[in-house]
Amino acid sequence: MKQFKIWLPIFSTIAFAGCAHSLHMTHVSDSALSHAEYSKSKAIEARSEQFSFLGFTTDTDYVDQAYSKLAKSCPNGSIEGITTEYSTDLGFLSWTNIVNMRGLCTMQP
Amino acid sequence: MNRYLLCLFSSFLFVSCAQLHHVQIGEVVSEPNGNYQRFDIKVSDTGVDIGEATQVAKIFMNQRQRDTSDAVAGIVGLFQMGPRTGNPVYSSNYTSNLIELIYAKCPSGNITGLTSIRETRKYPVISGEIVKVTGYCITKKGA
Repeated sequence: MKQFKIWLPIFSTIAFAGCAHSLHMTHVSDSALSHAEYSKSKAIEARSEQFSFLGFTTDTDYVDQAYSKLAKSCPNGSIEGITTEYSTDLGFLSWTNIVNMRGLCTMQP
Repeated sequence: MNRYLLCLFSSFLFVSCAQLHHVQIGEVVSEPNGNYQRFDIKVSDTGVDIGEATQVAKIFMNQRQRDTSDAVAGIVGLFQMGPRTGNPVYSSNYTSNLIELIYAKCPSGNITGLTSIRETRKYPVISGEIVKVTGYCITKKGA
């Protein structure tokens, strides 16, 4: 029983402390692709992060970075059905804000 | 003991509320010769409120155990710092296949009024961290 009392707090700390996330916003943009075009399209993804320690950070253009990465993933086509996610990975005295953009790249005929 | 369980059970039944965090609507297309069929997609994960979990656990503890649970909650809090919307969840990709789900609901791809909603369904200790997408699938009349 004494062993249990020692290990329970340790186990609880490990179980609940790690890998917690908070999803702030998700938005799905419009898509004009037919099912055939959707099947032919290529799924692309761009992710950008902002690390923050106790609220101090230097990266302030991570949303622009995610946008340019997404645009570069589909250089000669158009991007439809873009899902934008803004979330935070919670951490020890610090956290990482994440912008993740996923889309469907279709080539022009 | 039964009294505690009854209280807990009643709380889950009657004490819940929904909180809206964000809503955004897309393009609205009008097609006079179309049938508009509404669709809803809901994905969610379970959030945990460590503070509330500690408070509930304290009911069953003695003074020494309560002090220990406070310490555990404090340490967990240090590992979960950052801006929050709703309660923290332990999965980061539960919304990763929304576009696939939309095309499964509307194979024609002719969609209007796509609305993205981020909300929390709050219960004692846990919560449903929900992303809901609603829209209208346009099909040709008679199709």
